[in-house]
Amino acid sequence: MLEKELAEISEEKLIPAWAMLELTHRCNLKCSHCYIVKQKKRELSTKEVKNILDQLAEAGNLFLAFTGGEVFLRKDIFEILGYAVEKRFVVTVLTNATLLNSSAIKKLKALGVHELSTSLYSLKAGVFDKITGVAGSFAKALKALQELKKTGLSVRIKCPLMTANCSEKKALTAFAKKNGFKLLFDPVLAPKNDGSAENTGQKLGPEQLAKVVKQHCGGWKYSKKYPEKNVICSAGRNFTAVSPYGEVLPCLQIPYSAGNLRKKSFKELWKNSPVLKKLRGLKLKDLKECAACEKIRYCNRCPGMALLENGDLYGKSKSACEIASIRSRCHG
Amino acid sequence: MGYNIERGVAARQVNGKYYIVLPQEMKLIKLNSAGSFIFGLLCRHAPEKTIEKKLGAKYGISAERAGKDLADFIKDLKKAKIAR
Repeated sequence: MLEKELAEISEEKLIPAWAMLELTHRCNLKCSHCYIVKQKKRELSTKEVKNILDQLAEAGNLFLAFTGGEVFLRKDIFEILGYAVEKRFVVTVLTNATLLNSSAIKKLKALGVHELSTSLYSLKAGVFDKITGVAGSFAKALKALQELKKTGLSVRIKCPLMTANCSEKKALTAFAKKNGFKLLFDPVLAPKNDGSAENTGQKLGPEQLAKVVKQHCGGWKYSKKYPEKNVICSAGRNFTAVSPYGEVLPCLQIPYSAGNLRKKSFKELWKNSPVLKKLRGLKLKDLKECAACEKIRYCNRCPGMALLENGDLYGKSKSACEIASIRSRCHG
Repeated sequence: MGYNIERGVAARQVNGKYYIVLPQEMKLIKLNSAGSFIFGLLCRHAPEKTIEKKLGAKYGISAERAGKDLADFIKDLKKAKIAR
């Protein structure tokens, strides 16, 4: 309830209460569905990251997620996380957990990190390791999860559903429940940041997708967001992201840079960036085909996905259309 | 005498009010105007007497009343493991 209030106020006042900070694009895994397009640029230094944290705190950011690549490849990660906790952010760390040993996990707990979010693709080593492209990664991730449970750190498991792991939904749900972990399934694979779909080969087929979506239809409520609020997306309103190279982005799925924090302050970019202004000005009527679509009430269209899937921020999102169709059928 | 906000307590002032996240429960709470005023001073490590004085001046209340209100508020913060 209060989170909804904060979301509404921050959206209206353009306060970036939610943010994601990518610390690196380097990774020790080679996941088949990874959306990152690696760039040969210089990563932000420790000093630069701390300066960005100061600016985000000043701008009103509260919920901050550190992500990668794999953030634990950075040697300064604990220093950065400790600083973020001191600056009174709600600190979430997105990691594949394979680099976390008992000592590192205890350190995270002692630092005051609020939540760890990790991907668990399967409970079968063969399936997991095939998805990550690295033999032995399942054993390492599982060991880290066992250590995390002992430490009592809040854990959220994220599981993108793919052809290889779709049948394990029930088993993964039971595993999360047994261990007290939160769990989030995502039936959609985002294309790579350059729009290439080469990483989506494992995406669910129509029948698998329908089965997954239908399982949630009972709890699905009509989305009245578009007609009532006329706000298309929170990106650039109460949500922002920063790349490992200092680019301010409306969201990680909208790779339009609002400017670089090595050149300008966050405050200036957030206030004056034409990219953000344009995005904030998007209205329902600007969405070409979607505005008149009869299934819009069943749709969770994401402009970033529309951009990555079809190259058009204003156009249709193929994955959203598929899900909206299934939901509309559920409701007759 | 001063008070400290516990490590891990996340907080941000949004639209004049403090939103606080309690680390153990990951629960979001919101302070009212007076609470936000005091909490802002606590974040800046203001001594007790300074907070009492500023509270009295802002709300036009006596030093005695300000002292009592502050003590009550601190008691609540300690109970919620927000301050020590």
